[in-house]
Amino acid sequence: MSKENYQWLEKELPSWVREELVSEASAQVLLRRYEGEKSSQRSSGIAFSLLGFALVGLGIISILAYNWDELGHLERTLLAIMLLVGAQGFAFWVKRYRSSDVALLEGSGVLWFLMMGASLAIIGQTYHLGGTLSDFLSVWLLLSLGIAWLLPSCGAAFFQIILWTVVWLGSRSDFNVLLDVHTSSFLSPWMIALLACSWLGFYGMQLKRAKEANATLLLSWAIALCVFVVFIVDVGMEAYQIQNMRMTLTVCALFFVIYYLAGKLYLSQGEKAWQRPFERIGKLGIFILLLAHVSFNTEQWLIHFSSHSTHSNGLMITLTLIFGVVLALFIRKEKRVPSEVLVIATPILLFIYGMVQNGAVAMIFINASIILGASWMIFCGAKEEKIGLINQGMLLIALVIWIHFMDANFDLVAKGIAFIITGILFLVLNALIRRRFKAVS
Amino acid sequence: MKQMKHLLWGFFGILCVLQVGVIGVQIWSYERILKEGEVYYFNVLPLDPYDAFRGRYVTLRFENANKAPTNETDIPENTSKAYAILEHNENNDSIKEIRFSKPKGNDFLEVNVYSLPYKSTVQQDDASHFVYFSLTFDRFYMREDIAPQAEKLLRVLSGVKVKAKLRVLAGKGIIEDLMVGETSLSHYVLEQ
Repeated sequence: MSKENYQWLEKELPSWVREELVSEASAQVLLRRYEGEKSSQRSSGIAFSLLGFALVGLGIISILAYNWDELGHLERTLLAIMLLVGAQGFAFWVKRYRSSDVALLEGSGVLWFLMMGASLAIIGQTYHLGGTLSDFLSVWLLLSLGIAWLLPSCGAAFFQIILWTVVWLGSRSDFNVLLDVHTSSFLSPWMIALLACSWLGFYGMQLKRAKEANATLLLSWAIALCVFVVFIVDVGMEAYQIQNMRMTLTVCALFFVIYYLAGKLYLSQGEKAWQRPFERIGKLGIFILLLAHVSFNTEQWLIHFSSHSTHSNGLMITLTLIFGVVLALFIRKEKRVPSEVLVIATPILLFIYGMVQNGAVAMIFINASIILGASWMIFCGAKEEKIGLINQGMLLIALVIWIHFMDANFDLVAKGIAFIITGILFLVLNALIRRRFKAVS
Repeated sequence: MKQMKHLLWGFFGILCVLQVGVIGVQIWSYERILKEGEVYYFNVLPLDPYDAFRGRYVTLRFENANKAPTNETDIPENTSKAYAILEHNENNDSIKEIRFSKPKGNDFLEVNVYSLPYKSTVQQDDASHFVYFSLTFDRFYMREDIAPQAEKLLRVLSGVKVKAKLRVLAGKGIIEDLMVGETSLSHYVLEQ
């Protein structure tokens, strides 16, 4: 239960008792039922602790990166060991004597993780060790693998996921060649993939143990963004090699829909937008993909960048299978046409768009689908009294109109007037709907 | 439950020992090289990049230390490791030859091979049977304010030669200092 909901329940219960809807004892049981989640997992103390320890750790690394040449080898090596042992000792003390203090536990994990890196950095600069940045980060990643599990600390896992992503990006030789950098790691791709199992396993454990906690939400954002980055680079590199933009966009659509559905089904930690990372990223990706297909010029652009014939590949088949499974689970759960059916249907729409040979027909098909999907959103939003959903639908329709307007050969004044009129219409409609909702309630 | 707790503490201890152990072994091995290693001097060209974690350093381009001949005919295919045999010279120390089997003694250095000679050229005893390689160290960390000054100064004073003072022991080597004549590069920059 969210903190706001708990406060609402706390405020309402006395009146329920007075009206004899629930007994005094039942009211106390209800409060106790949700108190634990509210006090231990959702306190702002965790955020401050994480931020504080992260800043201290990064500050120490930054100060040491100055390379104090006044310090001799003995001082430097002692410093490296003292920082590491100090962080280990602090984590031990917290785990042994303050294990119920989640904020301190999280913070000590972050500090331990960062001090491991600081120690390795001191050794690296003291003995002028060679190797790439990825090599350094890989050693850091390997040596700090267990920290998140042992405390447990979502903060340490958060940093580990980011580190892993950087190492993974560095290990992609084709990506490095494209960017003209040399950052390969001594870890093999299989080893790096295996390391991902560690933090994926930890994330699974956290979802089971404390799904509603802010620390788990932080982890969700890290995983959602890092997996997204990994996917985009992977698909981008493949698109660069096979030169088939149609297939690439369909693969992206499948990925974003899976993200959206996974968020809807399992991986959301509340009702607010910032508590639903997978759903948000998935939906945003889908809308961008859909709007990219609206223009008259898209068909020409796709033909230009799809010189190779479409062929099925392992990634596409895997994503299609996963999409099928999550879609079946979603239909079983929802049992009705969802308000955002447009998002879910996007891979199918893009597939049909790709199959239609006539460019004009394909363009009309995708535009009609978006308008229909957005209208359904507005209809559902009005029915369920969700202003956000109505705005979303209206925004999609407005963007479709704008894109066509930009395609047309009008001068800047005409375009400017059209933008202003659409904007005013948007604001007026919004105000009218708000007033209607207020009147109904 | 209690057993699980004991196991968790056991892993906690193992992780701590492992982390300190890795740091400790690194310190011990590098200090041993610094103490017991043979000193070699190589001409280098320093450039100044930046590392977010370890600070500012100068990248070193080693002169006469990126290719050397090999007398071996039986070169393993796709090998990335080899051993550079070092020798002292009057002007500059240099790499005498490359071997693919570990030599005896201490006057050699492990290197990363990136180009091997063609087998046919080796067998024909051709003069072009060079092995191209890179040394395992290529950077020298300096104080944040000195590193860019060093690069700038050396660019202006183009005649000044910088030498890397290497310590080598049993195939492993580290850079002890960068020297301009008999002076450390850091001191030289500060004096200038």
